[in-house]
Amino acid sequence: MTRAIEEHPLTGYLRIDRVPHIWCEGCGLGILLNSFVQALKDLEFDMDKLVVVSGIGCTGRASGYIKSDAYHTTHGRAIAFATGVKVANPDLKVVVISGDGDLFAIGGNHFIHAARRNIDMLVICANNFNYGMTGGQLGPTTPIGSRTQTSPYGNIEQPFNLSALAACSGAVYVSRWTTLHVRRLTESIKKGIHKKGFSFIEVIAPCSTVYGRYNRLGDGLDMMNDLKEISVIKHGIYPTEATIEPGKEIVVGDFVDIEKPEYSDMVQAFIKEQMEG
Amino acid sequence: MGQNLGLAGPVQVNRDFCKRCGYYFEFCPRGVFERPDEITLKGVTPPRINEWAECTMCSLCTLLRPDIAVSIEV
Repeated sequence: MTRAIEEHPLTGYLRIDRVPHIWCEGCGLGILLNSFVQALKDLEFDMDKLVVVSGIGCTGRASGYIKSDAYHTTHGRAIAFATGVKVANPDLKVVVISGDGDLFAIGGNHFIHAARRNIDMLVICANNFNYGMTGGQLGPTTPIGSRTQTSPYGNIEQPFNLSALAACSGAVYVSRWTTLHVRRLTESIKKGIHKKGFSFIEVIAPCSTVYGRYNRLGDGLDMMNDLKEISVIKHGIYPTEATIEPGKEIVVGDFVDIEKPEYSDMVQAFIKEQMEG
Repeated sequence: MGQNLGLAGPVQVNRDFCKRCGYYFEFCPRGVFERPDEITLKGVTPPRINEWAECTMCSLCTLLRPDIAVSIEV
């Protein structure tokens, strides 16, 4: 059994020598990574102009598999690193790929302020409703009633609606997809890469090993079939109306697409003005 | 790449990468893949191409591949 690494179609975009990746069987993060890389391939994106930043957690491993400059940063600080990269070199396209716990619990403040400033970056958040890597603890997106390691009798905390948080904080492009809507997700990633400003894509990913096991949701295939049944596509609605209730209804679609002045452009214009003045 | 387990078709399956997600059997719109009885040394059952003549090259399998194991040669 030989492995013909050189011939893999994604060789120029993915570090094939690191595959098979660390994610569990049926995990949605592999689909997210594949979708992102496929979008880069379709756009024939110059990998020298791309920087991928990720934080800690299962999703944080994504940056290591992409064949571009990448930062695997400290917990929650992915957006802070990405802001530094973008302001230092505005010619680069900065993409943050991280999980819901990293971006919204530990790094929540960085997220809302990057969205407020409208820094040109694409943030892809994999939402699997718990802290998967550390054994499935309660996170900021865990739905009410869900069982996790730290809520064995069911969660009583209200979860975040991440897309609504991004839109209310000032993001110019917001969409939500599940890993089942893989073709639409790829198109959204392409849009997000081209969009000037703070773009946010939330990806609902099944975590069959931890979240699925605690909540008796079956394996990855069962969870994907569940997503197929409960997801509803509603383009253009404001994300506060886009409910996200696993087991009942998950509203997906392109929610926000607006134009606003971008931060790193304003920094450069300000510097130029001051130098001339 | 990898080892083509079916007939001389365009769809390739890399058995080394497979972790038995089972998505191809369920979501391929034309039922190109089948689940074989054999288990590899890693304990997984990689998909086998059953009816590649049914394949319309929609490439859904190359997007819906968590383990990057299935490719289509265009």
